[in-house]
Amino acid sequence: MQSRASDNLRRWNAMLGLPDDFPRLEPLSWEEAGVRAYVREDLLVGLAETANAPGVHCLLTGQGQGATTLSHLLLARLLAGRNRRLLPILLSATADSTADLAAIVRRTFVTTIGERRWDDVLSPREYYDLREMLGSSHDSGDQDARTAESGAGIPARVRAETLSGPLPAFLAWIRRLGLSTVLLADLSGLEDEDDALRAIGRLKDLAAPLHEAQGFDTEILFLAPTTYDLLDYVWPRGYQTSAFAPYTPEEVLSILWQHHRRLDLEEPDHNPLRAIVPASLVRAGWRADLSIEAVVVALRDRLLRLFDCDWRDVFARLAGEEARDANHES
Amino acid sequence: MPITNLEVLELRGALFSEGYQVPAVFANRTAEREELLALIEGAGDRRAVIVADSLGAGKSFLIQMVAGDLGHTSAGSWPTVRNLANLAATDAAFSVVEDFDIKMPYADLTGVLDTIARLWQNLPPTVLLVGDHTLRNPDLLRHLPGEIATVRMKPLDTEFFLHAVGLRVERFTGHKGEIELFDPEFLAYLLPNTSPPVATFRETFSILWRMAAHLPLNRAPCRFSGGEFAHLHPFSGIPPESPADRLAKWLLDYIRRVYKPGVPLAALETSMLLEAAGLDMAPESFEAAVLKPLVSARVLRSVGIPYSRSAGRNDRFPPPYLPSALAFLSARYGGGLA
Repeated sequence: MQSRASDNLRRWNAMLGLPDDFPRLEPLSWEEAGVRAYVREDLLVGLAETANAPGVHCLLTGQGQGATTLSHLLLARLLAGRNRRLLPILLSATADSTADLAAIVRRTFVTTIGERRWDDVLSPREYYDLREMLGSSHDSGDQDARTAESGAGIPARVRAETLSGPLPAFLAWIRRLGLSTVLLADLSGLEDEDDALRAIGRLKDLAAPLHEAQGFDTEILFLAPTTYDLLDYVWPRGYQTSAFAPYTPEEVLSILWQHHRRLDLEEPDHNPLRAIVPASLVRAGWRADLSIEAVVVALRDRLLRLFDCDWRDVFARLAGEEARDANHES
Repeated sequence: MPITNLEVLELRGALFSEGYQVPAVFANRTAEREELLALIEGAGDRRAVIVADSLGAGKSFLIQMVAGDLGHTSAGSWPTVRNLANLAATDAAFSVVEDFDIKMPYADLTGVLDTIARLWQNLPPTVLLVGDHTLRNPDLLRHLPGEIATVRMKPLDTEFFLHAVGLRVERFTGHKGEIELFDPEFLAYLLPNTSPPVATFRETFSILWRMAAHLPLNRAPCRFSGGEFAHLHPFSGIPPESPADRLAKWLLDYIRRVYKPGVPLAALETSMLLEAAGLDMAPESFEAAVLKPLVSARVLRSVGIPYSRSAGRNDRFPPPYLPSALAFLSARYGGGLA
């Protein structure tokens, strides 16, 4: 029976030009995520604006709701954004669990400063100050304004003072250049209390202010409500919170479509899946607390159950679902 | 000239957020500073000095101030329990390890203390260990060799708090003199009188920072009287009509019935809370299923010694408990629970 259902699903997928194993979400590289990940554009725009507002902002998301993808897309958006005085960095509690985070921050910001053109961003005075601080006493073109990843373009005196002391002092140095720092921290995958509190401790080591020096100008933290509760218990700082509503069943279809569509052929705004797959099939396995992946697994199970019939009956069954869906919407 | 609502709104980051919580504008804790300085300067045999108080009580700033008093130029770049690098590489009269607290599992903390014990002979005469009440756990401290001294922090009370706010106000607005930003009754709930004390600088400032966003946008003299609190809705994640929800409502009612600002409210034991909840459960199960969610939701604060043997090694939030400042404010001014 299961084989018949699987065969029918494969045949249906082939007929519609969908991948053999549809519906399924495969891990995407961050380059792929830039074109294949569906996120709410208004949310991304709002977060990019938030990055310009000093403070600590917490985006509360359910487990498996794409917070990691969202944080990467936000980083890309900020790096390509109009505000080139903004230096963003993304740290991940799970990916960077043992790394020297302060070293990553220093290296990333020094690299970003070295790679960008500043003469058309900063005022003449600020540009002069930047070049003075980077050790270039005369304007000899872009090359001088570039620093290697190790900070080789920065004189040893500056390196010693700014690159080895407490991180807040380094961030204060960046602030004196007329630039702002934004920390994006992905704490979303932390289900275990020990892991969550360890990550919070590491964040505190990194971002706590020191003496007259602030930490980062802006922090945007992606985390589950339970992790936020722990954060606010052990380190209350006047967080600004917003909740990320789980993706709706209709949006799950958009996620699937964006994930699988032929980039060279199909318009991103046109999602034929919505016409092909009745939303009721997604809705049946959808719950607000489920991950996107779990909803997709439930959809696949639902499709297999529906397709467990003679191939000729598949379309009648789908039509029945569509009718139910239409009744639901009306 | 009194400080206006608009001024406070515009300066709420400077006045009430940690980013500006700098020693120069922080209450100076003179007694603790002198005690700590005397311990460091009078050190004979190598010893550990414990500074243990609630998270956000101002311990790190105390250490920074003392380091400044001793001319320690790299003050603040201390090792933490998560990173002991450079612990022994100091020629100062003391070394510091911060964050001995519930953010670390018990096994990790004992590991850190064992490392300190191994390095003991190479450390300065005074080893300052800074953390929350975890550092009051005798089982944990047994891992340390040598003598142990303790410095107690003065609890945050109204006078102390107004002094700290006064320093900030003067620094960031130029206003001098008596601070009239707070209605006295409001202060009695913002800084509840409890035994043991639960109010901390960090939590208190965090609450004010949130409340300041709801001040009226005008140039009237600013006075926090509690009405702004009802806008906050600070408690999250408590399912309506669940045992935790019912107990939270009981707690708010208990505060309304029992709390008199002149008399410290005593900590509540599990047995009393279990009776109030009317549940037929083992105390340990009740703590895990009902009390811990209330701690996470910031309705309750645990005031026991974390990781103590009687509480079980994994217990970060052991009994007894006290209502949080948020709960006191919610009981008096509304807001909070649905």
